[in-house]
Amino acid sequence: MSLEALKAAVIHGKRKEVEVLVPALLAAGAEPRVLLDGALLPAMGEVGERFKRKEIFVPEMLVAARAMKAGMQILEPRLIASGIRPEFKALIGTVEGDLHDIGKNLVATMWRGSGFEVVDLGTNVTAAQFVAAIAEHKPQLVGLSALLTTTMTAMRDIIRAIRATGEAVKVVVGGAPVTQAYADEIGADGFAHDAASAVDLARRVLAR
Amino acid sequence: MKPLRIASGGPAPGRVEVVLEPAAEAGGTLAAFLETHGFPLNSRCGGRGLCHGCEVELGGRWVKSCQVSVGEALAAGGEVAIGPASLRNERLAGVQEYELQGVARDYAPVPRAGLGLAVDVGTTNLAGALWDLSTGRCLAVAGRANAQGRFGDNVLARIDYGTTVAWGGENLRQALGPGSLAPLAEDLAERAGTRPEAITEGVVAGNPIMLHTLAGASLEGFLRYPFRPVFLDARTMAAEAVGLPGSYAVTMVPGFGAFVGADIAAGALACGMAGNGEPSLLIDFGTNGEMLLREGGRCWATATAVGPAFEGGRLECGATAAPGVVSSLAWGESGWQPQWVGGGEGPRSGKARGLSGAAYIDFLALARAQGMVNPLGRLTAAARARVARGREGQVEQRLELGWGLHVSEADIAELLKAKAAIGAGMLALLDCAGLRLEDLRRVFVAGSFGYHLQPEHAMAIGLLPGLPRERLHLVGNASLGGASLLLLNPGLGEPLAAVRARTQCVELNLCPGFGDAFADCLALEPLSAAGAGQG
Repeated sequence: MSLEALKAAVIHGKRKEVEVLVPALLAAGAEPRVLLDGALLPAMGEVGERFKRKEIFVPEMLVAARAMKAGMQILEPRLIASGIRPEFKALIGTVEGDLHDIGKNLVATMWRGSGFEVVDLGTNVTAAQFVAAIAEHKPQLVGLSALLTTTMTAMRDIIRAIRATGEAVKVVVGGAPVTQAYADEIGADGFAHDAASAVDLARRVLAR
Repeated sequence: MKPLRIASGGPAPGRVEVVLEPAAEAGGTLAAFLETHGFPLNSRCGGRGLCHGCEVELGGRWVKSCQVSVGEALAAGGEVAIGPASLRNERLAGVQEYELQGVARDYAPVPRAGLGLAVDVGTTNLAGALWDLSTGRCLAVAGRANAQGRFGDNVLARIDYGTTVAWGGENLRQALGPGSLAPLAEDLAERAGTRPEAITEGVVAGNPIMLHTLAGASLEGFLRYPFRPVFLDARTMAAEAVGLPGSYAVTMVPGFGAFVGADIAAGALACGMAGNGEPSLLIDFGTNGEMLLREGGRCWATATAVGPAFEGGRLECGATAAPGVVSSLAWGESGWQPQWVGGGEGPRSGKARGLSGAAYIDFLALARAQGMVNPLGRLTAAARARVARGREGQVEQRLELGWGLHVSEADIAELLKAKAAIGAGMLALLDCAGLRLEDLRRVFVAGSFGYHLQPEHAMAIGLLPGLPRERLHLVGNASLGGASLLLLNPGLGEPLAAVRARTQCVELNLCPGFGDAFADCLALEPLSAAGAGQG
């Protein structure tokens, strides 16, 4: 029972093992913060790197993300109780007209896995809902997802509505049909190809 | 201008080498040039550079031939090699088999003079049957690739193409009616020793997107949720209007919802699921996996994005059933043992043309049982060979099967996603009905892929529920079977309307837990133990 074992369990997508190891490590006196920084975050970092090198594929990434999520669900209340707040807060949602969420959920998990607090607005999210959520949660980052060329067009209106609020929030976009050129055209602050690159992207735009 | 030298089909038999003079066409794309000169390629994205289907080797590099002009190809040396995976196969075997379950006594044909055409229009394949309506005898069956395939290999890609590309909708209509349905009718008539103009009635089943493009209806309503198809009810059109020769009425079978179509409705008839009865599930394995669950007097239907993997699409050695293609695999002392489409010893050259979808399922189950792959589809150290791939300098892990065939980790990842879409869809429907897997008394497996499955292998990897074998019924093309029944007895429109009235369409993306179920179902493990492989 060690941080290494927990990290390996996340990387290999062993959700049930994670659900046993996290409480066990906590019971043995480990600090929640140490489990996060010493196992969960590096595990997702490694999963992302392996995915970018094409050493693993979407199935393994999804399963690792599930294991990570299971661990975070146990840790999160402890982290909050001990007064630890993530450095950044992000909102994420699939745009209006689109119900696909597997990619969006993966990005949410990867962001959580790199230490962000993520508020997931779900699917079919309208511009008005994004604007209201920004007012409520005051995030530094908003992520828009769309799977279809035809729903992607909603991104333009959502970005326009967000800009109109005058909030200094960064907006990044992603999804199968989205390209860098389209992201530039609609005035997004950034675009990433896949969930692994979405982490680098988020850090990059927030550092600007 | 110098000529282009085209080599096609790889080192295997059937290699063709020709020299073509492209003088007048240097500005067009290489893909279009090859198509007009008898080398139609597997382009699935409408020549937009999004897929790999039209890749050819040019001057030692793999290029997408839709993105290269003939002039550029000449400038790069003019030597073009087309690999077997890029060549399009239009005439299909094995998509037209079907069995009717327990329906003969309830649904007697209504004899009348005439010649009837029944067709199942699939996203990837069409299948048709020609019937003598006076005797209720089937005169011919045939299959054909859907020529829309070059505009996208799944319904979402077709919707996208049809609504965003200029003339996209018209191109889809032309490819389906005149381009696929008409040649299929001609083929059927020829097999039956008659002419397509002699047909007197037609019934067509298919998913709503196919029926919309056939009718020339707008696909706009499929673009975004909430979906608003132009029509779901039965629709009758003149043969001429859907591109068929002759003058007769073609009836389109009604569907359930935007993505749950007439094909599964027809399938419900063919499987005897139209009435009240014990808990039953119909799974139609197609590019869009459609399912219908019956529990007492209620039904739930859904569609799940399977993609073309089970039909051989997006897989490096994937192929639709044809001579030289492996139909099933066994594992024995001497290693992998293939059975071939149509039987026999296999190609004399020792080089196969590819693996069918069902053979991939055999591979997954056997490779898992032998410890060659782990539950998430990674090849184990002992099994794999690292292979440098020609494309983009990537290195991939693959397992060689012999006969020039291999399965890569990327292939397995595609298959796992397709499998998980089916598994998570089944679990979501069962959840709606408050049923467990083991409550299912009958499971009908439709589709040509399903017809050729070895059930024990499909159960071992969780593609089908692990139930006693006698509860599983492989029924083949149930959509074609149901369309044929409706043709023979138009009165069956009534029980069909009754099923529609008590069926609720389920949008999987709105089901809580669908994403988690999808992740659970990725593992190569029996479905009844969903969630295993995680701990």
